[in-house]
Amino acid sequence: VPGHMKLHETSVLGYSRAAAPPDRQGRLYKKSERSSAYQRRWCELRGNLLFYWERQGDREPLGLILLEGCTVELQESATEPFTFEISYPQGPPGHRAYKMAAEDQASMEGWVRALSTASFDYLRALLMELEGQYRASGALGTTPLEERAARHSPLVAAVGLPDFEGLHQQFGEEIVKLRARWREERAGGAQTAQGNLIDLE
Amino acid sequence: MRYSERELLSLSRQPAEKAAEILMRAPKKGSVLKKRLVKLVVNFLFYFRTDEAEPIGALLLEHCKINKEEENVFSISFIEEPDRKYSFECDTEEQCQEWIEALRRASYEFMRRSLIFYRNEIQKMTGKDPLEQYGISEEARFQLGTRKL
Repeated sequence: VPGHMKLHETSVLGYSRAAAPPDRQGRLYKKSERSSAYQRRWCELRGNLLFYWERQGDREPLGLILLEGCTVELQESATEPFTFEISYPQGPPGHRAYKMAAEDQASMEGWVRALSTASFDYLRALLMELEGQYRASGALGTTPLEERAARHSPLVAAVGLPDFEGLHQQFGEEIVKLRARWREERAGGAQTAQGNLIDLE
Repeated sequence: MRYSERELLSLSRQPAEKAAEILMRAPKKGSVLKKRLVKLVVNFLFYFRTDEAEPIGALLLEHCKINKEEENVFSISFIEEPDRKYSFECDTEEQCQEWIEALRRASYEFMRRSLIFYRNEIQKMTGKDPLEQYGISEEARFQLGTRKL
């Protein structure tokens, strides 16, 4: 039957009950599609899924909202304070948006921040960025312990030891350059690196 | 449990990390191998009848185990039901290994652990928290120690 996709629910429910604490939890009010009334819900964010229950402690969630490809926007309404909307601009036309209300300003801001950075895509981009920084920071340097171990390796005896001192020196310089660049970027790139880069505070 | 099928359908139409026609068997007893178009998008695995545009099913790839079975075959099972396995028979052993690798890395939880690892390592090496510049260094979900690694 077209339009009837089966989501394997047991695993989703299992994820909703995971022992690890959720990424964010709390009370939110969700606007009903049918009645336009705001209904109180207990919400828990896990990964890119927002689960909601009628009450905290209820076993089975009432539902879940997928946080992929969505936009989270503050509503700035005088009549409906602390509201925000989860919408899917790239989704099919006429696709519903979720109108949510928090209990106060701080809660609203916290939820908007958490929900707008909850997507798998966002996490993946962040991870790639950090992976790049990790490799650039000379993660290949060895510790003195590894150096000693290498001396006892027949393979190393056959091909010889790399120049560890030279490598450490090189990595040290790389890290200093990276630090200078990061400092620069933080200062808005207003200065260019001048003089001796080896200028530690 | 309510969820928007439209959201999932929309997701299933996104560019896939990986997609292929693979023989698939559901955990139901007496189930037979059927050729399906299997598509990995973020942490969901969608499967379609090969001539249809809409998926017939979706698996959330969290709290699951991807196991190598016999030659060319891997399976997906979930922690809550370890004996109920979705079986996939690939054309080659190489394809099988590629899928296993891709599916293991496809969980949000796996990526989160990797992120925490890199964050910690970069902080140790440079003395600087790489998440500070994004304004998310205080987010609970990226803290070391709040999750079992």
